[in-house]
Amino acid sequence: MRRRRLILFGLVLLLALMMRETSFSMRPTYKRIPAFHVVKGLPETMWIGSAYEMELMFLNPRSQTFGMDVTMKITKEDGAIDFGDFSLAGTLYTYDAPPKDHHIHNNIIFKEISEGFLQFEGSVEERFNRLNLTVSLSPYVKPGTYTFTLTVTLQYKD
Amino acid sequence: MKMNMTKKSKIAIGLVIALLMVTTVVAALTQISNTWTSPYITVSPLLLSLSSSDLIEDTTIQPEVPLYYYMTLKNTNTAYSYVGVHVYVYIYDWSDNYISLADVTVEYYDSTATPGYEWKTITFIQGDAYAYIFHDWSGSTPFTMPPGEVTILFRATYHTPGIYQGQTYAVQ
Repeated sequence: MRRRRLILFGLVLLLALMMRETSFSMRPTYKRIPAFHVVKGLPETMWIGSAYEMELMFLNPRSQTFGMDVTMKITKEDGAIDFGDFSLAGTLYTYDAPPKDHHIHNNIIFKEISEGFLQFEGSVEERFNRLNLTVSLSPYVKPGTYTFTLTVTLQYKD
Repeated sequence: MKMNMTKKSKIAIGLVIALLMVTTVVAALTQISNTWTSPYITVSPLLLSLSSSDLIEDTTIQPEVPLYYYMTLKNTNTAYSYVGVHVYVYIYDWSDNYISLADVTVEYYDSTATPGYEWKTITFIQGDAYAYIFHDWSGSTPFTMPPGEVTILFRATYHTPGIYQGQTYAVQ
């Protein structure tokens, strides 16, 4: 009887330790993407109805297939953004070192999930990645002060 | 009581195994992420408005007979300052996708010109695969548009038969 209680106590203790371990592991590890570098940003002044290019580079540290999530959040300092005010498209150039294979994905079309929040989800496997993006302003964008926040997230699916 | 304890133990062991599996799966997902935030960006309305002659469409013209059209640019900047403008002229020949610099001459006349001003000939550049010729009015240096309006009159003279399409436009 005492021995069984001891075993049960041990199991409960192990369970508590596992729960602690699990809650720790469930937190995604947000490390930085290696060599993430915005080569060309956006100009400080933009004109309504115009388009602007930006360019960024990053490394896939393991040269294996990863899920890529790119989001652009656009906010206006004093007011709201309407659907379709901005659109985002681009081309992804990927290659390995030494360049064995060079792939061009030119169908990077972002979906506007909500007003001013655009997203693209895809996957690539090469080590070197260059993403060229074109931000287009519709003729109906309201003049004002805007901030553009671009986030790239890579997720390995081992 | 004995049966009850055994059942509890089994449940506990089952829970531990399930949690171990969950832990293994969760630990295999790794995310790395970077964020870039722009400085404050000013979005401004265009300071240039453009009007032009009506579209010239399906028109048969004789060689060496000039075709006239115009483009009016208006600097709407309320600060009354100059605006940089690029003016482009593109001409295609769809009959055989070939056009040479000798096939057409385009001249322009600026309404702000001082008296005695003459027509000036546009110097075209041969486009890719000889399918078109084009002209960037001022290359990398934009034409500085004074406050107010400027009307540019164009005179195009075609020298050889063909099916031509031209585009003339201004970009701030």
